[in-house]
Amino acid sequence: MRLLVRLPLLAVKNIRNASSRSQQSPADYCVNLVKQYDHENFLCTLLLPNDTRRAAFCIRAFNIEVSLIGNKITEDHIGLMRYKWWEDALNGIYSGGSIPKHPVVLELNKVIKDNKLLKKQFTRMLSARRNPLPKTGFKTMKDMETYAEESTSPVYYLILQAAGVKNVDVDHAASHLGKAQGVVNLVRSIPHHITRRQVVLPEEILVKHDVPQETFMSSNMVINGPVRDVLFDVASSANTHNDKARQLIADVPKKAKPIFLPAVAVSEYLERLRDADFDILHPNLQCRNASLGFKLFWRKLRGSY
Amino acid sequence: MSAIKLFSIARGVSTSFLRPAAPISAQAIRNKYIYVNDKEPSMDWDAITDRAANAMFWTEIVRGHMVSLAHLFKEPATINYPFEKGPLSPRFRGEHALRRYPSGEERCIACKLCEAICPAQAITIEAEERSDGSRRTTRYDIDMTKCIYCGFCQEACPVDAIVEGPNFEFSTETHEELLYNKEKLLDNGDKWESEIASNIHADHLYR
Repeated sequence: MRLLVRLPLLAVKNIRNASSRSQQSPADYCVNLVKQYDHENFLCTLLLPNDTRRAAFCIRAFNIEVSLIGNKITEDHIGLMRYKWWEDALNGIYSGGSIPKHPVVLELNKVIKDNKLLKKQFTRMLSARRNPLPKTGFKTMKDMETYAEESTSPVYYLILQAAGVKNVDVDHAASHLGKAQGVVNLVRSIPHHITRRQVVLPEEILVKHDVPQETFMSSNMVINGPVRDVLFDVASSANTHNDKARQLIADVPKKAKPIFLPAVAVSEYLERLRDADFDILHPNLQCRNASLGFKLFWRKLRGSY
Repeated sequence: MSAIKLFSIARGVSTSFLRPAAPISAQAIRNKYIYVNDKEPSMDWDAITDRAANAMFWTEIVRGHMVSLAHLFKEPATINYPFEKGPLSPRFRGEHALRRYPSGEERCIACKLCEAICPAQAITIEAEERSDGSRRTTRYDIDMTKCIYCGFCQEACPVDAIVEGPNFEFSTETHEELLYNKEKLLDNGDKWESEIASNIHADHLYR
């Protein structure tokens, strides 16, 4: 019973109250942003210990803000303006200058000052997003993994910093988790990218299975043998990285283990993809996993991920 | 007269002489054409009798009435417009609105990126610092008669303050009413916030 009280059910209640219109602090805004745009990571972040949770929500909110830019723009140069705005905001925070009154920036300002987070990781996230996804997909699987690592792993490095874990081995596990999650994000966004006629899968693998890129651009996409093979190759690469991150569990100190909970969500998705026989448009893959919350909670209780 | 003469000369000359360069493959048999002109009515007795019967018994008029009758029982293709509206894409770009944060504070921080990107130069902004140090607009005007609804302003806005909402019914009787100021835009934002917020929702990150 005491465990239940200590676990973040209380926090959930606070969030509900905070969403009422009257008093919403920047921290609440970040929580709601993560809740709205990144459901699985929202659940994972809720299970973090109290002292890291606030920083983690803020870092994830920043990640969401910069990753959404690519979806909102139709012209690359408009995106550059927005990335520049975020860069200026970061510069303002680190140089102690004036910062724009944006809730995520205000919260970042506080979290960065409190936890002494490194600017390098924030700029890494920004510069990874600044180069638009290549219209015709990545050249090689390695390019795709590099993009995933550059865009997603810094989130974990920063949360680890906020939790006070400074260990190269833990960062190694975080790097693999970031790669796995980044690749999975790209795979599950294929139905979304079809509408924008954008291919995200690596050319190398498409050529290997002799699948034309137009397959992933047409609205009536046919899932046949070669297409399944392509998706299998990409998904298994994500799975390899996820397994690697899980194998390194011995190096991760106990208090940092909840930070790696998204590995559970990633493997859940990959299993569902396999059960759907790599039919990326299958309705089961489009809806939320209702039992994910319980699974994450169970993993946290057992101290694993 | 001369035209006829020329035609007959051309007829006399062999086609291979007129088009010596045409390769043999170009003369492949073309049997997949569709004849689009009116066909000559057939003049055999069966066809003539059929046509006479059609004319006498008004069968075409009856068939026409049957079509009208069938449409009486069909669902109408039209909608009862001012009371019913057709479907709108979540990406529809209609009337502009300035959004607020859930705390009630206005989002716009007067960065003027929308003013800079606007290809029709329809946006005018004046800004000053408030006493609490935050930069806010004192004037935010959009000339809706200049606007070309390209949506660049909402794409450029780093805080998602200016958006093109789902409203398309804002016609007015005078030009002046279409020169929107900040109050009007903020009003629009308050009025359409729920629709705007529900249009921007996703379950996971796309990249």
